[in-house]
Amino acid sequence: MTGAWTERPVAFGPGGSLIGVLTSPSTPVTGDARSDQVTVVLVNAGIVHRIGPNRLYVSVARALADEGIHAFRFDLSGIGDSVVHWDPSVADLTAMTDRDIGAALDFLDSSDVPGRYVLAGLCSGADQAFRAARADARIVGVAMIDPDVHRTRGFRARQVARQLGRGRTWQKVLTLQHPWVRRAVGADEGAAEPRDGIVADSRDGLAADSASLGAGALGGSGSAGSESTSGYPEIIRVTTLPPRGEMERAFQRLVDRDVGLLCLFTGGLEERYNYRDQFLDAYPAVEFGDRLTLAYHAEADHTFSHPDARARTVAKIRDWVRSTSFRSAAARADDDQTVASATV
Amino acid sequence: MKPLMLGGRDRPVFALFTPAEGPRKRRSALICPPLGQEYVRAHRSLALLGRQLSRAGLDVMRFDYFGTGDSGGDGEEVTLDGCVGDARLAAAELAAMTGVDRVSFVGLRLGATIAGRAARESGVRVGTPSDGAVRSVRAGALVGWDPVEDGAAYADLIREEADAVRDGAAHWRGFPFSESLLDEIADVAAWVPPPSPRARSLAIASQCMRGPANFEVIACEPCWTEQGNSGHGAVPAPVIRRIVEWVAA
Repeated sequence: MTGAWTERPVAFGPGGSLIGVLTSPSTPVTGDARSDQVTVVLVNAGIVHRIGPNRLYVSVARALADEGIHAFRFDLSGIGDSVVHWDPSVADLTAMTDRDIGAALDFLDSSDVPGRYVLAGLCSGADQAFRAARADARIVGVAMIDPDVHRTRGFRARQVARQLGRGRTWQKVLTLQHPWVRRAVGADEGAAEPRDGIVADSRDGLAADSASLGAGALGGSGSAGSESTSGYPEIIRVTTLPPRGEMERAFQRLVDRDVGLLCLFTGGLEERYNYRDQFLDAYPAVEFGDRLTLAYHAEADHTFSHPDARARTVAKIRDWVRSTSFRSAAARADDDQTVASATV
Repeated sequence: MKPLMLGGRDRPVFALFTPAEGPRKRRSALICPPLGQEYVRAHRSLALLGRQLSRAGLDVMRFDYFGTGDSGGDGEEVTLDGCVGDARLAAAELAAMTGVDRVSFVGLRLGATIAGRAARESGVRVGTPSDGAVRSVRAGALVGWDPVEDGAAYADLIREEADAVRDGAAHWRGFPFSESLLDEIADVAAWVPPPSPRARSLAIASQCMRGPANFEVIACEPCWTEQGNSGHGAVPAPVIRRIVEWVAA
């Protein structure tokens, strides 16, 4: 290989239907130090295949391997090279995603890598990593890049201020075309505003592709759910951001479990997130303590198109994984005690 | 499906082999992807094309050029000559895995240029690291899908629209293009079929392109540009269907 790592492509999961690449350091950590180590698992960003937007996930995996850390990127069913494999346990796309992430961890459990996992993902990948961490105790850290979070008063105030600063907004107001004016005069009465937190699932349209290409286009196997005209289950649906209280309880449970959290937001989704501390303001009831690292890369777009923004984010993730203790609070307290004793 | 790393430690090349389903034809297919962001946009379409070809009875190999996708190396190391070498290696490996030396080449955008060159050089013998054998393949058919027709204009576009220049490479839509690669791209002329009279060829243009008279123009969105804000391209089912029918015929 060209760096201090090796990359091994694998087929795994149900019927070998999932494709991934394991990046391993040439000199992995061994001995006692290995018990502190984690393996990082990268979850698809939307429907972009496992290399990530602008090859971001490849860069992250190799940067981690340079630090002695294993990283695994793979395609969820129906994305990239992984084919859809339906089985009776899979009721919908969410269940299929959960099954696939579980299959990735099962595969890694059987490989020669540390069996404690940090899940990382961008956009829908962040949401899926967060959901998986809630259910799987093997997950000790989550790195979420541009996850969907609730809007706040601070968000709306900034959104209005920005709109007022745009000449186009005033042009629309003066010509009575702006939604504020139309609502004020009742012209849009009955028209629903887009609801916060509504996100289309990343694999909407799979069934449409399948239908347009003819039966079997996805290479799926097995069957579940209602059949489409193509002979494959219809899996088009919309997912919603859980209610704020549920999100708070979920984050608190992760913190109570000592799960490390990195929440990194970009300036590329201004319509969803527009100031650094929006995340904290959205979930004020959560006592994150030292378990949360919050970063706001305002100069970056959502997919890190610019090489400098990409490099900064790769370094941030690498440094966070390297510097965070993913051990339990009790183990960390023991460490502190040991250090204090040595100091005295 | 069988994922592989070809090429040895110095130049690892990711490949994905998909065996034929049903009655197996006496030829296989190699799919050559575009470069840069166009590959990310088109990945889904090329994956579906590969699966459809396998269902039509062909053994199929897809692969990433060195410096792209899951292959080793960085984007700054990509050269067209290197890509052609990777394509020839993948074709030789495909022949070694299947025992069939007749390979059809399908290329999208710059992948069409690379496929064309690899097909023209298909008689040249290539060593395959997996078994150490040296073998040549015969180009069975060549498909150019939305090929780059004016390399100089394409290279100019990349230079003009670059977000940044780092270490001599123009970063365009998230991917680096070195000066040497841009020089190679600038030399890309109109796509031509292979000279061998025995090799069939098909040129397909999406409706958005100025398809030359000898191109089949199929009305559809190109798969290599972004559809909405999905981060991905459309899946042009009519084009995929046409390529599968033509290659499998």
